[in-house]
Amino acid sequence: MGSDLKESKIKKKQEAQQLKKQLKQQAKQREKELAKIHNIEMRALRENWYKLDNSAMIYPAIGSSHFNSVFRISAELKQNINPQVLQQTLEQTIKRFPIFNVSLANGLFWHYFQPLTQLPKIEEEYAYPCRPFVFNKNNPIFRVLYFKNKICFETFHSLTDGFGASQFFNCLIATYLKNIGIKITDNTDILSVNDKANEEEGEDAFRLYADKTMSRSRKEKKAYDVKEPVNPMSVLQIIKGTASVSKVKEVAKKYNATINEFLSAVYMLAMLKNKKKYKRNNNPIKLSVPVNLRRYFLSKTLKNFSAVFNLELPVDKENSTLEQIIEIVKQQSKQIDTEYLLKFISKNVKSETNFFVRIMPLAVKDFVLKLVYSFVGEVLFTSTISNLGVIKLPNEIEEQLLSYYVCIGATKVNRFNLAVISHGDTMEMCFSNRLKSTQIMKDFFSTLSSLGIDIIIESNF
Amino acid sequence: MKVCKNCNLQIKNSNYCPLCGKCVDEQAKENQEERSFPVYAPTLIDNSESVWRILSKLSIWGIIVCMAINLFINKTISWSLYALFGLLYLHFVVFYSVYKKLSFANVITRIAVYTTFLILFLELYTQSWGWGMCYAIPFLWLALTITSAILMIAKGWVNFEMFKPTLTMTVMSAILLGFLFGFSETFWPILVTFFVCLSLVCFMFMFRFKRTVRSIQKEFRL
Ligand SMILES: [Zn+2]
Repeated sequence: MGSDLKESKIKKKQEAQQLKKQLKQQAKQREKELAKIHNIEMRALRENWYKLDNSAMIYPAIGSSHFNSVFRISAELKQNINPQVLQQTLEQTIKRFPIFNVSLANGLFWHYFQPLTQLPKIEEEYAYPCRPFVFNKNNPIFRVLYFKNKICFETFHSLTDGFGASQFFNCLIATYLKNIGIKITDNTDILSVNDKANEEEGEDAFRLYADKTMSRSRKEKKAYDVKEPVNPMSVLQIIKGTASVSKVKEVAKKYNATINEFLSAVYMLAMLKNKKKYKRNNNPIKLSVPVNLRRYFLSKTLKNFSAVFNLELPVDKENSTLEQIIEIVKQQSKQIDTEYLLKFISKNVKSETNFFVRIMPLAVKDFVLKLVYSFVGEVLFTSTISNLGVIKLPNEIEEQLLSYYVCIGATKVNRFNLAVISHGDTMEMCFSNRLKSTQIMKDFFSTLSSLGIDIIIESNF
Repeated sequence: MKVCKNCNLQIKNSNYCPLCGKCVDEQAKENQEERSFPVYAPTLIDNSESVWRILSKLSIWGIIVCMAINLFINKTISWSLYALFGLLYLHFVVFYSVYKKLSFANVITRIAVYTTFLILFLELYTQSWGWGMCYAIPFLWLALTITSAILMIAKGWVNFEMFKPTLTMTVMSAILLGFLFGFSETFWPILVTFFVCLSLVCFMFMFRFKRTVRSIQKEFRL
């Protein structure tokens, strides 16, 4: 009896051991299969590629190792950032926006985006804003930074424009707040991290709306150039002014102008003061105004889809008052209509599809583009004023925000630029400045202040 | 909130007005705790632009001085042109590749293109026709193509971007072959190079059709 029991016990033990072995083998097999699937996925991802949209192609060409077109969106929250949660949030968010997890690669004839196999990492901010990106196959062309209670999203302009970046950033902020336990019930104005990426988000909307029969003449005069001593390219001063939207609206209304027209005129006036004082050249002051094409053409794209319009203060009207400048700006702004924008889109797409441009090797193409841009690109405007308008955020997020602003970097020729964004009743006007002098910014904010608008100034210097 | 009486503006998180530089709170020491930007002193890397500019200027002046000495002593600029082309080659191939951290495929493509230019210059300048186009260039391309192929196949086709130099050299050798066919009797080296390159491309089409097509689409933006 005893030996039977022993035998059955041994048998059971052996059976259990065998089962264990089998399970182990199965697990190993499964692991191998998973690794195989993972490898295939990774390989497919590496072989996949995305085209740069029409307006994205200029940015790699005009950049250098010390400068490339980078802009930043920042938000300051009421509490300090938890890096672990932010990293986890970024990993969640980037899966919702696969077109953002790419590096910039060089083809024989064109640049293209190469999907990255690894997830991006957050970084602690330590230096100046809008540092240039190093382009190689392992580097993403955006970065998420944190500093104390601030989260920043910096991106190379080829990847997306202000609208696309704000969509990503809002989703990141909303997910972060959810992850730290804040309830957000209203999701109407932000893309949800749980949704699947929409194919339309990656489309080149320029090609969709280009009309081959339309074209636009590009003859424009050179603009006034503020040639003053500058800081090195990597040293960028940020001067941010915060005001109340309703107050600015009220003052603009007095002049019968929109906020954008009003701010453009005040900005022109500040540059005019500089011109009158130093008279460095007698070209007209010109202000480049990016226009979000999604307001005019239906598109869900998160890639670049914006045009630019140059406002000009004619040399013979330089004795004008603010009121008169506003009138000039209003008149010129009327030219921005669907026809103008269609011509703008069509002309750009036409240059891209040109046979000679297509067969030019990339190195030659980049060189030619850089040359063209230095003659008929940035010399055509003195500075940029980019107004992203009102960012609609759910109340639960708005309650957690201390500030939300954009800065658009500065270039070799356009050494100072202004970006404006509003959320709730707060308007944040952020100058990025490479000049050693801050006189233009001082004049801009002082004019606003003299018109009764309270301004709070903050800077990184 | 502190106020700058000079600019009539409120100043946040600083004891100095960033617009006019005046102190807005003389009693308090600067409180860095509140700042929403890191305190940062520019490093050498931030100023590398100036370093790079100084180096470029030095190189340009070096070349000008070389040319002047050359012109003064020999009444020509013969040897200083070697220095100029050598420097350009160094810049475009070595410095650029290191600085931009280029991938191996891009470095090989760069070497192929720029060394070809350098050899063509030397051949043209020394008027010693034959050695460059007939031998040096074809053998250089052959060596680079074989290197790319070995790297691609040895790693189990993982490094498929090596297709780029192979394709570049196939196209370049086809052009050179066409050129030499009419002008020179020695065209066997370029013929060999062209056939090796072409066979490799065909080999890829046969065994990795989809990936090859995708790579071509990628390179040509089709
Ligand atoms: Zn001041």
